[in-house]
Amino acid sequence: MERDVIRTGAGNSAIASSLPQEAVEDDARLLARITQGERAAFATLVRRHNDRFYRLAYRFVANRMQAEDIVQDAFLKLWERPAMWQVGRNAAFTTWFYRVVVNLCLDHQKKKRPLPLLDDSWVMDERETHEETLLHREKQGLLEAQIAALPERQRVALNLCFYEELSNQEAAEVMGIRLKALQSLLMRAKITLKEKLKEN
Amino acid sequence: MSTDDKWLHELRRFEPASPDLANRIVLAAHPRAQRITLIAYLRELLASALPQPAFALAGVLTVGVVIGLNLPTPLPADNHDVILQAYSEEGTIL
Repeated sequence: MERDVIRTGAGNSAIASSLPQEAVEDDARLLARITQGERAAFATLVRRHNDRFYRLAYRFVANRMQAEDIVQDAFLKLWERPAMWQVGRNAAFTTWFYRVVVNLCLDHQKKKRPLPLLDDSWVMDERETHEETLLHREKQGLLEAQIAALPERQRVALNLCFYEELSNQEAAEVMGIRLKALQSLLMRAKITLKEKLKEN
Repeated sequence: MSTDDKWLHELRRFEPASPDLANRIVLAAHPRAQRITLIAYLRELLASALPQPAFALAGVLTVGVVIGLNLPTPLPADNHDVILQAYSEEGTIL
């Protein structure tokens, strides 16, 4: 059975190792200053990472405003309770914060009904003809619907690996599962998506 | 991601975040009310009000006063003497 929420407890350091060492150390230092109530440190951390966490949130909710709200909530939680993150227990800030954002996204999806997939926020590619645009839009809508219908863990694995481009090892770390389990989730997600899209 | 999976990437919709997202988050973070213990507050107050040697001297004096007040004070020996006076029946002192 799929688990509801990703564990936010201990993690390893695969993501930390994929980032420049200075950046990781800086994050830890910034978090120490945030604990002291330094807003400048908080601002630096937000500016450094808000884009990547927004991208992830957007993959879950497919709506800009909602994704921005989720990222804002996550950062404000960190600001209000910086002790949530503990040096040593959570090796890299980004690994841990991915989990926080994913959990907020999953909570958000449980609480709220999803917005219509084809809303006005969709942006047209000017190189496409009208028919191509309509076809592309239709395919996009179908893919979004099928991804939304995937079991939770498969959806998380897909978003982390395909759209956030985390390595399988990194994604497994964020999800708190073994590499083999993640690979299996990804495989199942891809097979399901291909089959569903062929049917349509 | 293999080339077989490219369609997964290309097909998916994405809108970039508002350019002011980071600023919005920072502005929404209100200054935190820091909890401070009484001892920490007093230490900070004394440290900011007194230079280091004076702080040490004040500490020693405070400890001295506290110890002094807690020690039993010996009474003068005279107080232990009992003055005995004899009274006659008429009330005059003998």
